Amino acid sequence: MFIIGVILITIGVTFSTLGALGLVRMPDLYNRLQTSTKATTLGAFSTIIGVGFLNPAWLIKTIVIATFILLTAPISSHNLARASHKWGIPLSDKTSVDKYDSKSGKKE
Amino acid sequence: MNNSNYFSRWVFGFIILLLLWLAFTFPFSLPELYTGIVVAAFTALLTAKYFDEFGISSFAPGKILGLLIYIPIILWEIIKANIEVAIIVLSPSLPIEPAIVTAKTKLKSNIGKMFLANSITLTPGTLTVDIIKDTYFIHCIKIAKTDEKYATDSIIGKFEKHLRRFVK
Repeated sequence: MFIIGVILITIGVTFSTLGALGLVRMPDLYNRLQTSTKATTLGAFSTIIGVGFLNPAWLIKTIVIATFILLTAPISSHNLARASHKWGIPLSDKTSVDKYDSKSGKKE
Repeated sequence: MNNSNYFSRWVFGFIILLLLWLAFTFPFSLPELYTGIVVAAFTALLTAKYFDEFGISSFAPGKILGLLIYIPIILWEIIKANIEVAIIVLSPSLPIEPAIVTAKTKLKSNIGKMFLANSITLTPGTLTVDIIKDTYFIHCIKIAKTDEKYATDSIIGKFEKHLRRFVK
């Protein structure tokens, strides 16, 4: 149990670090959302479950908390992306196509 | 789609909330069960209208089995995609080709579309920006082709066939 917990926490910390690194390296808001919220999702998920393995009395509670994170994290990142696009925050120059016309709410 | 009546929705919300409460207060004890029944019944009364469309028919064994099969699949996709994004972040040239593409879904119900949108957003590298009827607008960090058919197959395809087992 102890070893599984330590491995899970190590994985979680690694992906949290990679998420922070992605936040610095990516060129625009949308790509930053991609790396930060996602790597942090697995980072937080893995760390919380790992704590549950270190202290088995908490395991069920930590699984419930991790499930809530998995359910709520995508909603916040979707809302940030949608609001930014409607607000007119530009995409990076590397972007090849943007088929989403948020002003009219219609397909191009 | 046939919406279930208020009582059926209330029972569904009550059972879900009670199970959550019991999981949170884990070492099981009777006083906590009584408190949980009262609080869950009251909360479900207030929220049943918004919580679910289908009521207790969601507890059909086939649907629960489908959901249980879906959980390891989505976890595996999250791990795979996390490693892909980690490689992109770590490589010095930053090989990204971002694009916002459209993709079509065959799912009809709101809850099914929500499951699919959240699965896409949870998977690193893809992010649902908006849904209009059956069209998903997805921001991809790296995609080879930007036409709708390719996007539908490569992003939605891997989740949709499993989702159709338990949502419409």
